[in-house]
Amino acid sequence: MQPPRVYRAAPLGAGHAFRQGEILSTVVQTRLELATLNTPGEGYVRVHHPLAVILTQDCDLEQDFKARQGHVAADKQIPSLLFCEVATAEDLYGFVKQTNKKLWDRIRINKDERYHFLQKVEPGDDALGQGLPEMGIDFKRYFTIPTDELYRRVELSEAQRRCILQSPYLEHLSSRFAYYLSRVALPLDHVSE
Amino acid sequence: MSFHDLKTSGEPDVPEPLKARIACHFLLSQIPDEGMSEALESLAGLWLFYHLPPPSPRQLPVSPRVPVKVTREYVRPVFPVTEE
Repeated sequence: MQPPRVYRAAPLGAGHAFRQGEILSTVVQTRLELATLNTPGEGYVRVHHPLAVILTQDCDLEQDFKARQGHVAADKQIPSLLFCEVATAEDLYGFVKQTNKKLWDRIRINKDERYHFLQKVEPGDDALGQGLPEMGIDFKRYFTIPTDELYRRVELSEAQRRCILQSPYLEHLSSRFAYYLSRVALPLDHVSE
Repeated sequence: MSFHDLKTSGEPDVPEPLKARIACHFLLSQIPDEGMSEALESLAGLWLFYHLPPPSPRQLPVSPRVPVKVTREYVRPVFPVTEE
């Protein structure tokens, strides 16, 4: 039996809509340099994300793309894309993998609510044909990039579209992320007597 | 209430909005007294919607262009999982 497919290669270039669960490399985010706020020459910082995954709702991405082509009403455009930083599993989990087997065993099967582990990407499922190592996502580390800016950066080949998570691995990621964002803080845990 | 002329077919040329208007008159005449205040409220709401001028779309303020410069550039750090 064929193992289930976790990823497929992303389309190259800016001619196709971004997808939820799409992993990109060399994504640049620009941020205001706070010290220069309200000064004559405002400065900004370029933050380089080696890897990042899109978590914006898939249908919103499709509608946004159609709106940019003028096929549906302009109000369907979404101003920003929601991302989570993606790190190699080695960088993210290396320490606990070596020091805390119990914690690592929980993380690698995605039972720790804050983190999401992703298996490696085979070269055939990577648009650049290079493949990607095992990766991890920390749901606390999300950020946004203006949608038109990312399409332009892809068009300029600055950001690279790599691969897209396939169902049900995509839904597994998006539902865990949504759950993490909607978790409820309790003043005190239930007391066990 | 006015009706359109008959045309050559001999059939009355009744446009759709007029048909709906006649149907509304019929339905309204069938509503019992206890439903009339509710019907009035609904109709008054519709009357207001179609008689008041639509609000003009608000123009967003145009932000002035500000010269900026890149002050820093870095690869974002990874925050490894700790044992906490």
